[in-house]
Order: sequence, then C-alpha cells, then structure tokens
Amino acid sequence: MTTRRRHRFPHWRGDVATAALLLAVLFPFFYLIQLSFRPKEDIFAGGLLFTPTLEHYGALWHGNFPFSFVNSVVTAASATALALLFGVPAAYALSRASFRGSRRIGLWILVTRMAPPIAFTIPLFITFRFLGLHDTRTGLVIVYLTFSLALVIWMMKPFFDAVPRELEEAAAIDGCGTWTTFLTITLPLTAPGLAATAVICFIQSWNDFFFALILTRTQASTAPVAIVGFIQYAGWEWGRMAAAGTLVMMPVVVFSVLVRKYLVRGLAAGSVKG
Amino acid sequence: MSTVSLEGVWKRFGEVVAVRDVDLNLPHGGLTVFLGPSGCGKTTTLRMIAGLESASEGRILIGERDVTFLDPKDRNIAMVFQNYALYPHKTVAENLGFGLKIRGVAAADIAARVASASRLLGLAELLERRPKQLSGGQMQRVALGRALVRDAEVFLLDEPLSNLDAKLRVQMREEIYKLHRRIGKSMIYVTHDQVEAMTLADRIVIMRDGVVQQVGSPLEIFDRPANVYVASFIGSPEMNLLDLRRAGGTLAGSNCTVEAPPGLAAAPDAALKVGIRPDHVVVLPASEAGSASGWLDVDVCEQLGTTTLMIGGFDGQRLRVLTPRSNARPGDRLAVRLPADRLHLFDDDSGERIA
Repeated sequence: MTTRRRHRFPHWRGDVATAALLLAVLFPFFYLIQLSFRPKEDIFAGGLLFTPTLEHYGALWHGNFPFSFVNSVVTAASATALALLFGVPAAYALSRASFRGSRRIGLWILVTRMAPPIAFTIPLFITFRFLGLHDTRTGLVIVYLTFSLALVIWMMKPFFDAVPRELEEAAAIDGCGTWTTFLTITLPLTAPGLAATAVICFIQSWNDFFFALILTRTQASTAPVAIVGFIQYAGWEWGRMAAAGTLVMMPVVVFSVLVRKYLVRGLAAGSVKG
Repeated sequence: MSTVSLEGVWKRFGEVVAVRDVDLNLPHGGLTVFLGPSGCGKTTTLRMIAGLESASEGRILIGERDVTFLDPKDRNIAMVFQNYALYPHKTVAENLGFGLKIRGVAAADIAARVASASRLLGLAELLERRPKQLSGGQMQRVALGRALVRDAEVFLLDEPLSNLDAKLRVQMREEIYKLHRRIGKSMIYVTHDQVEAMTLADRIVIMRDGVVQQVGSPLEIFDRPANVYVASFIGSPEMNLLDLRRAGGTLAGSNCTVEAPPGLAAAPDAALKVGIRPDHVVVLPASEAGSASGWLDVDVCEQLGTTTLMIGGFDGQRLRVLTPRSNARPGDRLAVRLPADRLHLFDDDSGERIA
C-alpha cells in the first residue's frame, strides 16, 4: 500500500506543493519584516535591493510603543499564568471527579466561549467604569482570564483523561496524597499539553485587539492598539507600523517554535491513546 | 503478628452490590489467593484492603490497626497492578525508589535498597531505562520490585501475570513463589486462573458474585469443595455433577445405581447433586460389568497423550471420564463404576455440600 502510494505521488511533487503553500502563507510575514527594515524614502519601492535600516525601530524605542509592549507582555503573561493556575486544577477535577452534573458543568464552562465577544463589550465597559477598572492592566487581565479559563479547562481535560488512574493509585500506595500525586505524577505526564495550552492561551491574549481597544485608553493600552495609533491625520507611518507589527509577531513565533513539538502532539492528543 | 482481617465488609456501587458481607482472617506471612471469575468482587475486595476503594460497611484491619478509614499511604501496603502502572516519565531506578523518596528516606538508603531489590529481580542492568524500553516480563519485575523495596507489611497483587504470554507466566509464577518464600511477607494475590491459585497459594479464597464461597488450602478445596460452584470451578477437566435421587443405601438415576457413601445425612428419596472428578470414575473390564454403576455411551474421545478423556452419556446425563490412555472409540458402550468414597454430595436446592 505504502509503496504503491509513493509510486503514484513522487516526492518532488509534494515538495513543490509544500513550497508553494509556504510561499503563499509566509509572504505577508516576509513582506512585513522587509518593510520594517526599509528606509522611509523608498518604503514602497519595488525590488529587494535596499540598505536595511533600524530607523523605524529606533523611532519606536523613543516613542510610547515600549510602554504598550510591556503592557501586552504583562497582561498576556498574567492572564496565562492565572488561567493555568485556576484552569489546570479545574480541568483535573472535571476529569477525575464524578459528582452530580459534572458533565454539565463542563458544558457551562464552554458556553462562556460561545457568545460573540462583542456581545460583552457594553456590559464590560460599563462595569469596568463603575469598578474603576477601565484603562487598567488588571481590568484587561480579568477579561482575558475569563476567556482563557474555558480554553485551559477544555484543552487540559483530555490530557488528564489520558493519564491512567492506575498511575495515581500506584502513587497513592507509594505514599502520595492527592496534591503530591497531582504534582509529581499527573502534571509531569501532561507537560506537553500544558506547554501547548500555555502558548495558545498566551497568544490568544497577546493577539487581542478588540477588548484592548475598548477597555483601555492610555495607561493600559497594548501593543496591537498602539500599532493603530500610527495611523494619523498627518499620514500613515508604514515603517513604524511594520516594525511594531514585527515586534508583536516575534513572541508568538518564538513561542510556537519552542513548543512546536509539543503543540502538534498536544493538539493531536486524545485522538489516539498512548 | 500482622494479619489482614475483614469483618462484615460490604461494597456497593449505587444499586450494585460488588462485595457482600465478607469475613476473612488472613494469617501472617501466608500467600492468600482470591480466586473467582471476573466480576466476582475479588479485585474490589483487594482494592478495599489497599484503600483505593472505601468499604460501604464493615471493618478492615491490618495487624491490630483498624485501617478502614485510612488513606492508602497510611496503610503500609505495597501493590502490584495488573497493567504494572509504572511511572512512564521516571527511570526504572526512580520507579523503584519513588515510594521511599516520598516517605523521606535518605538518598543513600534508597540507592542501597533499590540496588538490592534490583539484584534480587535481575534488574541491575535496566536501572537507567524507562518503562517504554522494557519488555512485558521486565515491566512485571519492576512492578514487583517497586513493591519489594518498600518493605511493606502486606503485598497486594492484582492479577499480576495476566498480561504476560503463557510461557513467561509460568516462569514469573515460579519467581513469585520463590520470592514469597524468601521475604516471608503476607501476600494477597488476585487471579481468575485456578492453576495460578493452586500452585501459589497457602490458602485460597473462592469468590462468586461478591460472596466468599470457600476458604481453605488448595488441596482442602480440591478434595472437599463446599458447594456445587466451587466443585465445578476447581479442577480440570471439570468435576461431573449428576442429578440423582437417594434410594436407601444407593443413589439412583433412571437407569443407574450408584452406591452411596455410608452415613449419608439426607432424607430418603431426596434429590441430590452427585459430583465426581473425571479421573475418579472407574472403567470396568467387560468381565466385571456386574459391579458397574451404569453404562457410558462414548460420544467424544480426546487423546491427551498420557490420558484419554472420554465424554459421553451416562443415564441420560453428561459424564466426563479421564482414564489412562485407552483405545475406546466414539460409539463404544463401557461399564463404569462411581466409587462411593470418591463422591461429593450436594444438596439439590442450595448446592451446599452434605457429604
């Protein structure tokens, strides 16, 4: 079967198809990156021959962008950390416990993700104004947390389901209590899933534009919002936008590359036991 | 001296009763086998002793200590799981030492005990491997080793050999036997394999539907099964069970007469289940046909090499007869005698032994 299939589809065809697909997918990224290094004068000039410059990055550094970037890092990282802190034990509990309505609780948690985010903006805006959370990092973290929690719980539950109970029972006999078992046996076994979940969680918060735009003004505005700020009456600052875009993109790329092995395995987990 | 005792232990899962009023007293240092078909409650009973299930009712004692409400970690037990349950992210050495590490034993002490257990089980070369890199037999040894290093009071083994192939199983059975003799700890061993039970046990507990049917040494159970269920469960080929009726000093069927054992405590004319092991049935030469209990119409002849198993009709009922190698053929009619001293008599209603 395998040999026949190989015969019918020679290697080079697959390679060509892969290359074409990659080119199509990656073109916007490369375009953005090269744009960020182009001198202001010939920013839309054709051809790849130009003298790379860091002027746009320099301009960003001296502007307000670093502040927004730090806001992004802090809010996304805090939201991820908190979502894991609360979501992982919740997923474990849902995976292991059999109490009345435990399945329904899982569904209710998912329901929080079903409504379109825009439906929450007005209530959130008014509530945040009332609570003094408007334009604060704390406020953003809270919003991101509500959305990330469901993600963490639903992503981690299958990983915990896949850990055989016997292992935990063996640990119990070996002398572990519930927490020691969880921390020394169960959690290490789900580490790939944890990494994948953390990355997806982080990216989700990091990439958010909508809530950051609505719920922040100056103090807590994040990098994606700051990018829009480069669209001004005086003209669109393409170079800075490209440089900022590249910087915003970088953590996502770096994280994905770091955990890509786990990411693939993580997302495919549950499909085959083992 | 430490023993495991169960006093009136019940286990219910919702409406389902898995274990029903079990009373057991297991002696110190013995190897006790819980034997029964799947779903008979033997594993549940073991898990209750381990503390992995809570008893719905009753008390469990290990030594003098009431452990009914203690966590597994406080019971000082070690357990070998059916699928080994080795920690996949730890090496063999870490798997072996984990229980000690958790209990705060010093690292040097752990290393020494892991080394001695691995020598005992032939694992010395494998200490740095992970479970995935081991064969089934090796995993089994690691699982045993993990229990051994702990120096627990009681060892619980839940069908430890059922995942091994037949040859390895016999080999590991021997090893467990020797191991038990060597360390002299109390072991409780769950299996559905009567051969394992017969060869390993000091004492067998036969269970069915959550109820203990009989407790005794392997030979006691083989020689004097307490009821029809035990009689047919233990022994291979299975014991014959004939429906006969008492008629004075004999047991009669419609077309056979079997001499009853003396002092039979059954009402005259009572219906009885009469058991006899296939190798206890005597095939008579034609010249002694006069003393026959009845006739066997041979349907099937299984040649087993040393012996021949004949299956056929006896008084309209099925009878298995195991004889030294014979050249009987299907269709033969043989005179057979059921010796009175080899009979097991059971009450027809309750199935309990009466003689």
